[in-house]
Amino acid sequence: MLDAILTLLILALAWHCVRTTDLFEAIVVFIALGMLVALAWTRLQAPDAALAEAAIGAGLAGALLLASLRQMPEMSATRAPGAKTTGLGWFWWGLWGALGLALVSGVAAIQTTSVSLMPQVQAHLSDSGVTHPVTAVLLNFRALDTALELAVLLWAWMAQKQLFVPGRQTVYPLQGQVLKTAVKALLPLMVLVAVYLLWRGSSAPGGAFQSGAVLASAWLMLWLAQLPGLSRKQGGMRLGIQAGWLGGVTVFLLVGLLGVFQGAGFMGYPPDQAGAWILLIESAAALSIGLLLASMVLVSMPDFQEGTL
Amino acid sequence: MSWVMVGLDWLGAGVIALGVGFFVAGTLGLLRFDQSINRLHALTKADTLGLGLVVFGLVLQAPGLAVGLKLIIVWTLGLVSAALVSHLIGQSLCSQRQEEP
Repeated sequence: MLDAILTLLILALAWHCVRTTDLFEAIVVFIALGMLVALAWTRLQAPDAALAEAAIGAGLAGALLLASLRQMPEMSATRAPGAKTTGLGWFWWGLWGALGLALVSGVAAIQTTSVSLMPQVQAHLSDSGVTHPVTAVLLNFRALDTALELAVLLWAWMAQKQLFVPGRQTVYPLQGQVLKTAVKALLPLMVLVAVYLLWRGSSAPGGAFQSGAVLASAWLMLWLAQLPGLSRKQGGMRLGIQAGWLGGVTVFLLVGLLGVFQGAGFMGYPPDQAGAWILLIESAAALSIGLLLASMVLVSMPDFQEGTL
Repeated sequence: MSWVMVGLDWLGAGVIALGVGFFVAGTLGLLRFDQSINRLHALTKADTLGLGLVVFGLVLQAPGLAVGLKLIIVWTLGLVSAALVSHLIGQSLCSQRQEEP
């Protein structure tokens, strides 16, 4: 019953998000959609995916979209009430409709042959260095996929950095000490939560992406409260931030190469050292992910000044 | 299970239902009020009282002291963030109002 309502809500919100011509509305609906999808992951007993979806899919992606919207000129495609669908419109309807049908039939075909990899994962879990099967897959059995994910994130940030245009000043300056005091009080707690999520990843849901998202929001709050956070004007800090951007991918690849020399193959670790290597990779990855995500949102803030980052 | 436990369970369920009522009322206010500042008022009532009652009800049903204390910590953090966010929204509304003639 609950699942049926959830599925219907997700479908309705997705449809609305695509259909609406108001960009702001579309973003708000997208954020709500992300939260519902996170709930759906929880119902599917995948708390790792749910945490990542809520923090990154709904939280940071929503902030990014909202910040980009403020920099865009007012535009909204208006559709005349009685407008008829043109020939080209029908063409797109047909094309996407056919693709949708193909997708549905493909998914229907999958359901008939259920193959579970869980027995294989459980059989080799003791060699992976961690006790949580999801972390074992992400950081050991399929480590290359995770390394490439990190590389994609880095690539996206590099592309965004090149496109940076100083924005218009539209944010109202916030006065008062409430935000500053609250951020000062909450910051140690946020760092603690980030470290806890990272540490927990070896035995329970959690890990680098979730921890990185918490770190990113901590940094963004520092910036919003106009506290002296990470400023690129100082030379040492600038180098540190640049190293942080590249750190996750670099550490991952170096450890991966080390595996070649130790005879475990690229991205493989000897079972007795696996736990330590995974912790090292996850720490570097969490820092990198936090810095990259926060940088992405910061740069798209309207009153962002060049040189702060 | 002793009758005290059963009583606490039922009391907790009642308190949670009361809290859910506050959430429904707050959401109704959020949807129906026309001015942002009124909406904020409705939302903060729902957040503070609703969340407080739900957490209190859950504490009454909690299996142990540790779980109860954790719930109370969650509630405290919720309170702090709700107060902070509504303060920021209120301030932003104020500065917008000052800019208009």
